[in-house]
Amino acid sequence: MPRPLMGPQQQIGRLAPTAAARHRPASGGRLLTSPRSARYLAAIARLDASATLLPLDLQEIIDELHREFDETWSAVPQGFVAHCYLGAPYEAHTVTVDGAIIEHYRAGEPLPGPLEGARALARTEHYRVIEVYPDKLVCVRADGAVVTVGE
Amino acid sequence: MAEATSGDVARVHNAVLQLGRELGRVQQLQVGLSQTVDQVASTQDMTRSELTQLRALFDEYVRRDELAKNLQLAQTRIIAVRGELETSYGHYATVRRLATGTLQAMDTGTVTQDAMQAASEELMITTPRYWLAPALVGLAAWIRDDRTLAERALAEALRRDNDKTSLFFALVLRRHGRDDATARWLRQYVARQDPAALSHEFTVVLDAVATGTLGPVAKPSVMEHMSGWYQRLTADPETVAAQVTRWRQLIDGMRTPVDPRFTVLPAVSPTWPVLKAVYEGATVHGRAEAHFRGIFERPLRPAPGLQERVDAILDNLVRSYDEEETPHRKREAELQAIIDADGDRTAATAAVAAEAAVHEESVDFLTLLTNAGFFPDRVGASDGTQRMAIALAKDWVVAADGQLEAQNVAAFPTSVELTVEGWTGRIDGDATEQSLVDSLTIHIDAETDNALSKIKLDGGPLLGLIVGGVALLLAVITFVQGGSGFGVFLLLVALGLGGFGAYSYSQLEPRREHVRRLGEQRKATGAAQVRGAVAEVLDWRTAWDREVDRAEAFRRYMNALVRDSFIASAPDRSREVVA
Repeated sequence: MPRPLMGPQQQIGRLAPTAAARHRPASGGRLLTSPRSARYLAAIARLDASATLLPLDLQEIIDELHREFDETWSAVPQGFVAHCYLGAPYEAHTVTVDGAIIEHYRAGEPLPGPLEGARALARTEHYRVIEVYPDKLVCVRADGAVVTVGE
Repeated sequence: MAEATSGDVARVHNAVLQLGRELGRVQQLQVGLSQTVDQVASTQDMTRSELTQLRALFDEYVRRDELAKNLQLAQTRIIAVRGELETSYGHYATVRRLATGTLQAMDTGTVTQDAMQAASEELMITTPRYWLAPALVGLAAWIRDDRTLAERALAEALRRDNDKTSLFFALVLRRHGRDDATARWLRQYVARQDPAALSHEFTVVLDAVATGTLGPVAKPSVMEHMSGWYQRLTADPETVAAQVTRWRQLIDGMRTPVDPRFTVLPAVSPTWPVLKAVYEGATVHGRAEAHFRGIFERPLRPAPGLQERVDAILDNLVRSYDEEETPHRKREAELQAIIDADGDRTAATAAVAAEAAVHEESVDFLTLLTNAGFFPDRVGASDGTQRMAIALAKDWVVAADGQLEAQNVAAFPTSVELTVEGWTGRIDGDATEQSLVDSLTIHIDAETDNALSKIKLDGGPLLGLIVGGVALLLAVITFVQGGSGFGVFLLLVALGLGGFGAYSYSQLEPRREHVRRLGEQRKATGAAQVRGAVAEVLDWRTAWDREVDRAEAFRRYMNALVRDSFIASAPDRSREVVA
C-alpha cells in the first residue's frame, strides 16, 4: 500500500521551501547514494501522521527533506512513495505538488506519473520510503541505508 | 370374419405385449447406455489426465535426451580442447615445474650449477616464445655468477613478458631477503600498470600483500598505488555499477530450488511460476551468507616461513595461464560449464556470462578484486587474497544483494490465482478460505443444477406417453361406439406405451442422483484443493519472509568485514604499518 507523499516543487506563498530547494532542478546533480541522515528519517516518520499535520508543519517537513539533498548538491527526487499503514480501503495517499493537500488512493487506483513505478516496492514494509528519480529508484531502509534500483 | 378379427386382435395383442417387452428392454438398454456414457465420460477424463501426464513425461524425455546429447558432445569436445592445450602448451608445464624446483634446489644445495644450467638452457631451446625459459636461464646464470649471460637472459625474458619477469625476479629476490632489489623491481612493475587494464598476473601482487610477502621497502609503495587506484576507480559510478552488476549475477546464481512439498499450488495455481521464482530469488541471501562465512571461517594456515610463502606465490605466477592460451582456456571453461550443468546450455551460458571477466586478457583493478573474491581458483588467488578481495569488494556485494532484494520485493505478487474444477478465484488481502470455498461451491452447484435440468423425459418415452394417451382416448371412444376388438387393441397400446413412459420416468431419479453425487464429490475435492492451496500460500509466505529476512543478517555480516584485518604482516617483520 504505497503512498506518494509529495512532488518535487513545493511552491506556495509564504510556505515556499528554502532558497536552495527553490533554485535546484529536480533532476540536477548526482544521485545521493550515501545513507540518509537521522534528521531525514525523522522527517519521513513525521509524514506518517500527515493526515493530521497542519500545512505549516507539512511545509517544514518538505523543506527538511529537500535539505538532505541540497546540502550535498545532490539530485532532488521527483517524488516520495512510502508504505501506507492506514489500511483498507485506502492503499495510498499523496501530497499534491501545490502542497499541503493530502489525497487518499484506493487499492488499484494508479499513482500519479512516475511514482507508479515505486508502488511494487512499497507494497511491503521493507523500505521506509522510496525516492523516485527520472531513471532510478532509491529505496531507503529504516536504518538509512539505501539501495539504488534501475540501470 | 368375426373369428378372423378375433384372431387378428389376439395377434395384435401379442404383438403389443411383445412391443411393450421390447420397449422395456430398450429402456433398460437406455439406462445401461446412460450409465455407460457416464463411465465413458469418466474414462475420458482419466484418459485426458493420463495423456497430459504422458505429454509431460514425453516433454521431460525429450529434454533429458537433449541434455544427454549436449553433455556427451561437451565431454567429447573438452577432450579435444584439452588435447590441443596439452600439445601446444604442455611443455610449458615442464618449465613451470622447473622454476620452483630450481629455487628449492638452490636452498638445499643438492644440485650442481652445471646441472641447473644444462636443464634451463635445454628448456630455452624447447620452449620458444615462453618468458619463463630465459628467466630460468638468467636465474641459473645468476647463481653461477655469470653476469653477462644473466643480463642477456634477463633482457630476453623482459622482452617476452616484461610484467611477469619483473614479478618473478621481485619474488625471487624477496625470497633471498634482497628487499631493496625487490622494491626496485616492484616499483617499475607497478608504475607501468594501468589500473583500468591490469593483466591477470596482478593477482600475484594481491597475493603478496595478503600473505605478507612484500618486503618492508616495497610494501608501502605498492599499498599506496593500490589505495590510489581503488579510490580513483570507486569514484566512478559506472565502474562501480559494473562490479555491482557482476556481484548481482554471481549472488543470483546461488538460488535454491523451492521445497518439493509444495504440491497443490503447482497443480491449481497459474501464479505458481511467479511464486516459485520469487521464493527462489529470496533464497540467495542465506546462501550468500553461508558462502562468505564458509570463506572467512574456514581455517587459514599461511605458510610459516617467508620462503614457503614466496614459493606458493611463485607457483601461482608461473602456473597461471598465459595470454596465448586464453582462447583455448575460455573454450574449455564453456564446455566445462555445460558438463557441470548436466548438459543444460541455458544454465551453462548464464554461468559463463557471470565469469566472463575471468577470461578477459586485461581487466580493471576492481574487476580483478571481484575475480579474486569469487573465482580464486580460476585466477590463482590464495585463500588469504580471496578474503582481502572480498573485504575490499564488500560495498558492491552489499549493494548487489540489496538490488536483488529490491527486485524480489517488487516481484512479490499481489494475489495468487486458483483454477479448480473450472472455477477461478484469487487469494488476496480480502479473500478468506471460507469465502473461496463458498465461491467454489456456488460454481459447482450451478454446474450441477444445469446438468440436472437437462435430465428429463424426452424423445421416445415422451412420444410413447403422448401416443399412449391418444390411444387411451381412442380406445374409450371405440368402446363407447361399441367396437370392442379395436378398443381392446387401442387399450393395450395405451397400456404398453403408458407403462414404457412410466418406467422411463422412474429411471430419471437414479440418473439425477448420480449427477448430484458427482457434484458433491467435485465440491469435496475442490474444497480440499482450495484449502490446501490456501495453506500452501501461507507456508510459502512464511518461507519467503524467512528467506528475505536473511538479507539483513547477510548485510550486517558483510559490513563488519575490515580490509586491513586480511593483510598479513611479513614473517620477518614483527610490526608493520599498513599504508
